[in-house]
Amino acid sequence: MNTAAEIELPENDTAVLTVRDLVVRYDMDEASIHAVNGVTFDLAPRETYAIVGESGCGKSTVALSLLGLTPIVGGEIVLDSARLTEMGRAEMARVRGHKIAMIFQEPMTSLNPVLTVGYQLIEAIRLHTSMGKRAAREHAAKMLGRVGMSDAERRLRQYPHELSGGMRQRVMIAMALSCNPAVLVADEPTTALDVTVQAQILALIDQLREEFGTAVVLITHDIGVVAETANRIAVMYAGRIVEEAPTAALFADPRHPYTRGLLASVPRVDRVPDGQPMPTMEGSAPSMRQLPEGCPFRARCSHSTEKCETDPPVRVGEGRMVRCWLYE
Amino acid sequence: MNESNLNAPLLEVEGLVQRFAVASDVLGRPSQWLHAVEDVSLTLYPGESLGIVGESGCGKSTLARAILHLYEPSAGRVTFMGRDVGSARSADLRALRRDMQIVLQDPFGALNPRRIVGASIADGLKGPDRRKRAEALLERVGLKAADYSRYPHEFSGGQRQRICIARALAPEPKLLIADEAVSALDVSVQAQILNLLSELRADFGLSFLFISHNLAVVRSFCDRLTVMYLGRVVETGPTEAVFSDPAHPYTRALISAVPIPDPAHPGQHTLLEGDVPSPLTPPSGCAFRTRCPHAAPICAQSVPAMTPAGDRRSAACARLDDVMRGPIWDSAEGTK
Repeated sequence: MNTAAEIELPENDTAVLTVRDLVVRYDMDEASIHAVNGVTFDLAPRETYAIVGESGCGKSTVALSLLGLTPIVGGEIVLDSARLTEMGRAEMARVRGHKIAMIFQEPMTSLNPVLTVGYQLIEAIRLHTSMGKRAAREHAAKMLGRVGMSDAERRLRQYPHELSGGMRQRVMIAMALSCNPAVLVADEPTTALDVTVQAQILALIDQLREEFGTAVVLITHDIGVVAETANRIAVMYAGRIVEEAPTAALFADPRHPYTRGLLASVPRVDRVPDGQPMPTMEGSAPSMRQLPEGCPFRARCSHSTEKCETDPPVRVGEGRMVRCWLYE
Repeated sequence: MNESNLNAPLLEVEGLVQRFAVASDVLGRPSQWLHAVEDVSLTLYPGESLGIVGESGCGKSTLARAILHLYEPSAGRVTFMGRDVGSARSADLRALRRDMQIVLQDPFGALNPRRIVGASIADGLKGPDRRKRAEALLERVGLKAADYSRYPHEFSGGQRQRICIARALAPEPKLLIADEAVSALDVSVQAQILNLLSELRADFGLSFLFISHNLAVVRSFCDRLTVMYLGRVVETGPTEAVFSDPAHPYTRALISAVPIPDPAHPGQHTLLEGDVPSPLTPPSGCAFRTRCPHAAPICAQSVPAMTPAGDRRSAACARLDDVMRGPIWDSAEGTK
């Protein structure tokens, strides 16, 4: 396997999070699912780094791995010079929610329905700080204010079902940022929300990223969302990053054939339709139980040649990376 | 078919109201109502594709089910091919429903996991050679005749949606209701299914009621568009007219909130405050007034009527003349 160890990334001392050669495998009864097959990236402070791709590409597994919630079988994750991949359960539990926090797609299932918002927020704060009950409650109310929830004292006494989806996601964000983490992992944070509420939440995450100086790893399938919020984008396919570039560069000049196909198949709300069929990529992604040899995209790729039956080389330069034989 | 039939609407919905009792008093009488659809009227002509857009809870899916008469409407009338759907008895209603089929969002839940997919499709066919014709339908939607004997779990999400489409086509319907039919699909598969629906529309002369929260998809697929908010229609008109110059403040906010997949032409989002109010206790007057930047005392007094807003459009807003109009994306429009 062509793993990320071969990639020479510019040495970046300031990176808040580095992921090297991450491999994650889920062992099932009859087969193993090769969810992540060598993922490498650096996260700069205050940056929004987006990982995009379609269902099953491994992007959510990368997100969960950053919090030590997956069976990692190879590679390393370093957060602020601490090796998360070498930590035991107890040590990881202290980091999780403190130095690195996560928000999920479904804010209803992430909150405990039988506990008040205040109870859950205060518990999270006290778990990771030395604050007393009263101070934690004050901090919780202050956090709700910072995520744009008015009447914080009343909100603290409410249960999750009394809040709308957008409000619940605000609570999750308040909880995630309450200990001022270095990294916020946001896995499809607005996918379950309506578009007018999505716009509010995305604006809020961006504003808080500035205020708290938090770096954000944004996992999404929504190309519009990454275009508007990410500084850099990684495109994942079949458990690997196939292309990485600054946002403007990726959209202006997508290099990997999969990236090109992906961007072309997004319908545009701001364009008069030309009446032509939409560009499509035929077929679908390979099974993660049995990945083909070589480039996993080759069966759907119009540029594929015999070369593609062996692992494609990784080309790095101009702040971007592409993994394809076209750029040998 | 004679001339007048061509111009007659295929589907006409007049003043449809759909309320659900969600609580009752000690005597079992309903004490609280959920106002899912309130006074909705729309018309669909043969061959046309009408988009219904709006956010969750706006009543768009309830509207689809009410058109199929899966609910007894609280008020109003649905006329399909000149016949009153509400007064049709069971045999008539079954015949009517052959002509109006629905494709749902979740292709995993919509197929019986214990039956081969061919059998599900053949159910909708009448007459001889059902297996051959079911196989032909599978091929028409981009699958293989040999897939007839396979089970749903052997297919991907996109393939299952193709099977659901084949099943919907089997009774040779006039109207296909697509309720978020491409929403659960990945974007590359979504494009394949949209292309398939466009082909089928041309080949079979199908009419579409296309329900979606995805405005970009609606813009590419629909001739006309109806925007709903909290159970009511707030704007309706030809798709391009609405997108190039939305009239209702909600339509403007909704369209402008969509993130644009192009950093060179970023969108200009009008951020709305707050959330959609509960359909259990809708605000008085205009339902959008609690979030509307143009709200005035008049908006609380009565529900605004649909009024002409130019370009064969109408919108329900008391302050239509005061709303800033014009295109949402100055820079991007036309830069193809």
